[in-house]
Amino acid sequence: MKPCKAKLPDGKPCLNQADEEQEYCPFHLADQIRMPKKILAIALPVLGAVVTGVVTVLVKFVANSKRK
Amino acid sequence: MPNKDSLVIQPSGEVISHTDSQSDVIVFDEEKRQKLIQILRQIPAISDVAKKLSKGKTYKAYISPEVLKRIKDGSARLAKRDNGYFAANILDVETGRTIHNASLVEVTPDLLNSLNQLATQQTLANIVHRLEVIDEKITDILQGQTNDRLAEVESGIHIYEQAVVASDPDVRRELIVSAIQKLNDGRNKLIKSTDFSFIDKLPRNRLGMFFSLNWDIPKHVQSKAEPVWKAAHAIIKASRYLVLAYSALNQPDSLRVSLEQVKSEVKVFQDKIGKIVHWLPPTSNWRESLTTISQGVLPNIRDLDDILQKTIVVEFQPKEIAPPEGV
Repeated sequence: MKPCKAKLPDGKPCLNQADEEQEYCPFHLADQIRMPKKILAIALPVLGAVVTGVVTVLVKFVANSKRK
Repeated sequence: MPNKDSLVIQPSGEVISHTDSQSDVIVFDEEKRQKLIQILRQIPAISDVAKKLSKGKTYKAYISPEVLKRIKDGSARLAKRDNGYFAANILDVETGRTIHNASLVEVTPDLLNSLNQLATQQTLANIVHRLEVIDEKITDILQGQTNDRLAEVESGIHIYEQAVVASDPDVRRELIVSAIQKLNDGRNKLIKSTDFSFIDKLPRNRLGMFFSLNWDIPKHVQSKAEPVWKAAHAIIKASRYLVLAYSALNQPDSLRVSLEQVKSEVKVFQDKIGKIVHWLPPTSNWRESLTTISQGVLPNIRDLDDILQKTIVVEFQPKEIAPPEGV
């Protein structure tokens, strides 16, 4: 274990300890991936909806062109 | 010149704070100090010295560890005169050689043994005090939360409290024994049933955390840590009352065994809690409490082993030991 590299809002160093192979403590590591994970959490359903919409439109387009 | 095995009285000329305790000395609280002064009063050599001391000044008496050690291991005893009075206070059992020549009148060996008992009681009281401090740190945070895990331990505490007020010594003893049983059972069940497995399943790197099913891992840790924390709180409470109960029965050796039995399991408990701390925000109000637990839930039983290596320090004023003039 070694000291965490992160700084607190008041500028003091974090009191937690980091694993040997990491630079940050588990709390700050989890904190750092929180935002990308949130973005992914929002983006995935949106992306899913967009892909579904595109596929639906494509399927309909293909079906219509076949009927013609 | 003061003998190594003798009781040394050193004038200090100033009042010494009771809180100024060192690790190699035992300083008595007021109740035990009064008991010790009663013992000192019965030793004429001390009483004579006290008469010669300046009034209004505070003195310190140092009782060396050698006195306690030799009495306990049986290598020294009080010599008895033909007239039935106890004379030289300490004799070497093997050689029969006098170690110290202060004259004692009707001082039984029990008197010196009670010094040892007082030192043990004071050490146990110090242990209880330290556990109280830890307990307070945790209780402040857990205040208002129902701690159902404490039920069996609470039951043991209630029985102990009933024992304290029991007037019949037999009933008192019986209740204390019952309280010890409940406290030991409650504490052992908590140690065995607390689940720490979630700590080892937590991801330790960014990738693992990113693909973890828990969106907010520190929050998840906090929710899982709460029962562990409450269990630790109960263990501390149980330990505190176990020390009190064994102390009331004057059985420090049984206390030692009771603590030894759970030592390794509690160590695992502390280590796991130490790991939880690093998952908490550094500003969390849980932090201090959990750090305290990770540093030690059980009292340090080495304190009991070290009694014979410690010097007893008692602070007194001459009038407390010397009889009033004209008596």
